[in-house]
Amino acid sequence: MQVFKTYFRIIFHTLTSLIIYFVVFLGISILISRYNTQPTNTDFTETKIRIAIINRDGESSVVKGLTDFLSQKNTIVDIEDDAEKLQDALFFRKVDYIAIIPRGFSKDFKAGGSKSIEKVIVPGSTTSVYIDMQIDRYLHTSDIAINYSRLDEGNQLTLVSESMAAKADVEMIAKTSSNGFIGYIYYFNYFAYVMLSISILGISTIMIVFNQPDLRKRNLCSPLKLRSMNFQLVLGSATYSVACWLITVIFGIAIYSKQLLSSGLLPVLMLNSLVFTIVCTSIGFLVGVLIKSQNAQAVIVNVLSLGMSFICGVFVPQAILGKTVLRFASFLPAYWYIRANDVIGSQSFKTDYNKLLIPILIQIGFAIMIFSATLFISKQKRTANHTNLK
Amino acid sequence: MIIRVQNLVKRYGDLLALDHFGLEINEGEIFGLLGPNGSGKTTAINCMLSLLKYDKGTIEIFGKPMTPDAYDTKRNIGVVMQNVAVFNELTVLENIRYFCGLYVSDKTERSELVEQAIEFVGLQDFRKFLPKKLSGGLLRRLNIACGIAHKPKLIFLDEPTVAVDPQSRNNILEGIQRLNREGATIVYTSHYMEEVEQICSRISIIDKGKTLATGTKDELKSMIKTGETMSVEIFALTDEDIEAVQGLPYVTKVTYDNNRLSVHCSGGKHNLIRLLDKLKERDISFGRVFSEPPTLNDVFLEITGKELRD
Repeated sequence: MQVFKTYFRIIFHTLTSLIIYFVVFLGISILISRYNTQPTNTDFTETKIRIAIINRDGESSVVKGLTDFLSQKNTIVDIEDDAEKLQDALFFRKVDYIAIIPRGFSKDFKAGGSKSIEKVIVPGSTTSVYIDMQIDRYLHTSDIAINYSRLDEGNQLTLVSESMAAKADVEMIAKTSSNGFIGYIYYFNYFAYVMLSISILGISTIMIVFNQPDLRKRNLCSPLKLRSMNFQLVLGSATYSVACWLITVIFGIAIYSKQLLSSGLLPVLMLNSLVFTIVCTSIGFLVGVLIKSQNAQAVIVNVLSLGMSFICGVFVPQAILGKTVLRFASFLPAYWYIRANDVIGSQSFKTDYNKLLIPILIQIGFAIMIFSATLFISKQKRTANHTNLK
Repeated sequence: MIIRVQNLVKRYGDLLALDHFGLEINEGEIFGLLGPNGSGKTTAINCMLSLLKYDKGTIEIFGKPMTPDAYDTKRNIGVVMQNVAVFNELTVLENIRYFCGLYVSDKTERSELVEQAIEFVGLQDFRKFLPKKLSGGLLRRLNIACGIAHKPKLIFLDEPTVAVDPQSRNNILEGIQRLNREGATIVYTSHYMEEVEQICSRISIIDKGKTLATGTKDELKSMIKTGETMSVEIFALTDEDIEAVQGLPYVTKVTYDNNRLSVHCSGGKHNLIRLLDKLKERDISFGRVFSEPPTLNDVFLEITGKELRD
């Protein structure tokens, strides 16, 4: 098993680069795990603020419309227009905002005057900003309706009410809870980048070394059978890849032990990551057969690992990526790995196994295809060398 | 017979690299393949080692046809390539251990052989050095150690002294002779005629993929008309004196330049004595006298009409 032993002696020489990848990966993972221990709300629920409206202007369409609009958005509290009572209401937090419509406001507003609605707020209150914005929005819309619509007063009020009631449709594409669950899914997503980098780097280094023409000639002159040499190289690569996978998974369990074990998703995450590890191994072999120099190797490692990670959803969730990008990414194995991870994260595979099975089978298909291409290219090169080696 | 190559033809497209090339090498020989760069030496070796397919001919090593699957035959062959072929990532010791391990599975035996190889090439103080830390000469020695550590019966050395300093070259040549004394048959290729002349018991001169002549160095030299070249320091010489020397038997060419008389002969014996007698007879005083026998370069020159290093 000389080739197998030598495999790991050579790997030992690239250990520095491999450790850097691991350290960066673990560092980021640990940071994210810390960050995710603080719950982050991802839902939005409109809250109502308690406000009081003091109308000193009397009845008018503008005042009525504004009062109706504010009462839809907030909780209106009735308070007598008395300075002491108003101050008490604020002091005891009966209300957060008091809007005072001054005398002559409606007339002035219709005439395009500068009279504004007065307010009394709790000092330093942030919620008051929302009410300011609501009042500004309403008055601004009313101003447009009054001055540009040519409608009568009743219809102006209806138009403003309809405009203020208009809402944008929001569809929730993905929803993740805030109990730390996202952390280990992110860890396993980021695993794709690390595994691509270290597999291509490690395996292609070995292939480049063993494919050096002079070394290859020397090996071919020996009684070592070509089949045995190839077998030892494959065995070495498999051992190396599985070791990297195992180390990464163990670290993942160490960082997210509670959430991972309680979720019951660990076995499927391990399965998916193992299948992706096989894909990475095949890519490593292909790169090793195609390139000759270690300078080219450094470029290829970065282009493949970073490129695939960016467009397949390792760094940016697939839900955020554009359709064209995703369509292109679907021709790459990392896309299916991330997709399987997302399915595992949403747990939707529990009701429909195909959702998980299909991405995993596609990854296996990629691995078989890349391995076959590698063998074909390798055989072509060998045949060419045997004919014109010089 | 250790190696028998007959009618070997190898083409690279339109280029005929080996043209009905043949040779026979006996056990215990240091057999030299001498020829200029591009003459087909390395191609011939690559064909013999089954690293290259060839178009025609037969190759037998140890009496068996040589094929890529002839693993039993390969077990007894050592190869030292023209280019240094070692792992840059492994130390000197690890490199020799790896290549020896391809031939010898027993760990104890392997360790002994590796140590012997390290001693043989004098790399004891460099065991833990990476190849990039070695000088050119030491690297060549490591290359040789990797090829001979398993004590093969037949060793191919393809220009092992290229780009090596004179001291390292002498070490390498002495080492090759020692390997031969220990029982190995050596096939040695070079375009340095002095090396081939120094160590090889039989020589094949090849050019343009053809074997031009094969034999011992004396046999090769006797094949050509060119004989020894004599030089004599003389301070004064007339045209009549030169004509008299020209009239001596076997003399083919006489030149006198910078007080040095050069006399080229086409063979014959006692040419120097005859020349000195003639000088005495004509009362010509002379200083230092030199006599150079024909070299392999003369052989090559006469056979091909060009210098070996053209």
